[in-house]
Amino acid sequence: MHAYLTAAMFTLMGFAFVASTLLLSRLLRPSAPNPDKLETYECGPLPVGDAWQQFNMHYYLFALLFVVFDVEAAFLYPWAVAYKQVGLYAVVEMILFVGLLGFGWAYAWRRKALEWD
Amino acid sequence: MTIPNISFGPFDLVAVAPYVALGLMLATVLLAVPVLTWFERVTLGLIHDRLGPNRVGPRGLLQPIADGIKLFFKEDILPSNVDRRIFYLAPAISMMPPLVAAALIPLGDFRVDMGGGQTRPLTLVAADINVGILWVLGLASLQVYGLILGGWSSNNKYSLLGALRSSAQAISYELALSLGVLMAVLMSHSMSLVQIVQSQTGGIMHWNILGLFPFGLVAAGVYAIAAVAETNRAPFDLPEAESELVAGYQTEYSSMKFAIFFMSEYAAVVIGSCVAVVLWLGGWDPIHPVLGFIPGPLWFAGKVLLLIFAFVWVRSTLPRFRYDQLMRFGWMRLLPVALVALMLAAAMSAYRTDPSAGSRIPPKPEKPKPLMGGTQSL
Amino acid sequence: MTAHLGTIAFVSLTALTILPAIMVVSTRNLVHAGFWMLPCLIGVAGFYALLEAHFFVVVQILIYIGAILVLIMFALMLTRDVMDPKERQTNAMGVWAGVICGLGLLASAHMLFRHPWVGVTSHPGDAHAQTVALGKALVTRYALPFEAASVLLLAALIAAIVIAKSMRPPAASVGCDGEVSGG
Repeated sequence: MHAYLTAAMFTLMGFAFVASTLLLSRLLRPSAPNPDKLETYECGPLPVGDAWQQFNMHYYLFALLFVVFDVEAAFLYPWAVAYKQVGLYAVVEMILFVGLLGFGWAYAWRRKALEWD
Repeated sequence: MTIPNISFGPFDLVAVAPYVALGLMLATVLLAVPVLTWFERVTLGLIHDRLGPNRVGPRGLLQPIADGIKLFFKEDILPSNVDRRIFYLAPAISMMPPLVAAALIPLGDFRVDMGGGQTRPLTLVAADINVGILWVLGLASLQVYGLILGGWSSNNKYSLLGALRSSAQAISYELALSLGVLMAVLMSHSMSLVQIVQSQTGGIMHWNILGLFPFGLVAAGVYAIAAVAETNRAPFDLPEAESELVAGYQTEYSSMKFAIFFMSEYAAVVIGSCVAVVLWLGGWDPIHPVLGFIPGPLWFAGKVLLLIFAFVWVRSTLPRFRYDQLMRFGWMRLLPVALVALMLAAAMSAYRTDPSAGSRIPPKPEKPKPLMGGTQSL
Repeated sequence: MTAHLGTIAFVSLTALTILPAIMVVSTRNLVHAGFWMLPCLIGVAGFYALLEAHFFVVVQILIYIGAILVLIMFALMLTRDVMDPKERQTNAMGVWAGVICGLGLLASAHMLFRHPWVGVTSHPGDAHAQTVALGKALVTRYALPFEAASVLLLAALIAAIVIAKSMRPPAASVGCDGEVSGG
């Protein structure tokens, strides 16, 4: 339990650190806002519309692939600490597991899902 | 190395060791920016055959302090159409993961002379968690939020594109990173950072980088590439590719909020190097047991510095990837290489030791059982 | 004393999970709603910590927060009108959905209170022992479900690619092998 408290403490300390530096710099720095300065920066020209629009679908596909392979990696961890105690059998099973996903990966390759366009 | 059990008032060395480790790591992470910016600029100057910083203080040593003071006095611009709450939260979130991960890094171990001819082991670490390496990966995966939220809340097309690019890059290379880490777990049979280091005791030939040759080397290479990509540094610094995206997700950030993003990047470089030393380079283990008279933490610091130098070296040598090359490299090269190496290494090591595998060679005697004295119950 | 601390931890974790969950469904801004899931999922990780399932604490963070929530955020950022939604937040079937959910809640509460709960007697062991036990169980006793999980992941992978590729404009939906994926 102790370790979780350490983690929680660190998180709080991190927030405190960020908050205090921001506060300190607020006390020190000048503030002279004007409408032009507060405009979105696009190298000079006035921005057209805002940035909250739809974007390339492909990013989403990568996120999906990532979820699948991340779940796979999570399965691999307990296996990696324990496989020696089971022996070759465990390795064969894991090769089967990874091999099946390898098919999916090969399919993704063939459908050019891994390519950026 | 045996050291006397010095007492500090009511506390002895054993009791204060975790706090010492905590203090050391916190100082390292927070001082990473001033020290590393200087180190990086001097090294780059050396590599580019130019002077580098040389105006403020001897050899430009005071330059980072001047930069820090300047950042404190800079006007903080809060653009009028940002999503304010998230805009403020994003730098804080990006600073958090490396800070928490700092508590998990073990810096050295000693034997403490308890008096009366008795010694006990003592590990210099703030929190030794049995699934520590997974925590490091989990924290690394949280770093994406700093990017996404910072870029999205800015309401700037450059920021949003930079954020999307960098988060897609981060998740792609996170896979390679965790598969590289898995190889070390496979070789050390543990997910505790302390035990991973202890399993590599005995000089360079026992380090994981040379373990299950050549697979340890391959996995360490995969880890190294993925770690550079995860920290968004050159040649993978696409999110801040200034020729394409101004400053990527940081475009609208100024003053201290920008500085905090900057700090988190350097803190991540330090943590990434520390974890690499723990996983592959034997942590605090000397290159050869003969050199054991040099204290472990010094070995550790030396190795970390070497890796940070490598970070800078790579930055000054390689040109930036193009985005499609980057994604293709991550998914079509790094990922399969890491997975195949992992399976082959497991098969190799299981075949060597499995009594049912025909050869009937008795399994090699296990390495000495890790010293668990300083381990917390978790 | 420890039981007392446990209760405090439980209550605060419940608050950490439920309050953000309420924000998720009540915030009109979709990206904010997605972001509120972060503390909510951390709360769930906290419950695992309370149950001393140390491996699952970190898997919860790694998978749910590090991967699935990122996916959700991407999906939300793909949505149109994400900042000022013009549609109503509830739909016409809201009342019926509420009634059905309420009945479900009552039924599960009934089951929960009727069930003869037995206190946990065996200690789950430390994180390392748990992980080793889990790893062994995956390849011995639960080998078949384990391989089935791989098939499930494979199906998810292929489905994701098929759907994503079919959402292209028609010209681009012809694969390299000339196969048309019905765009």
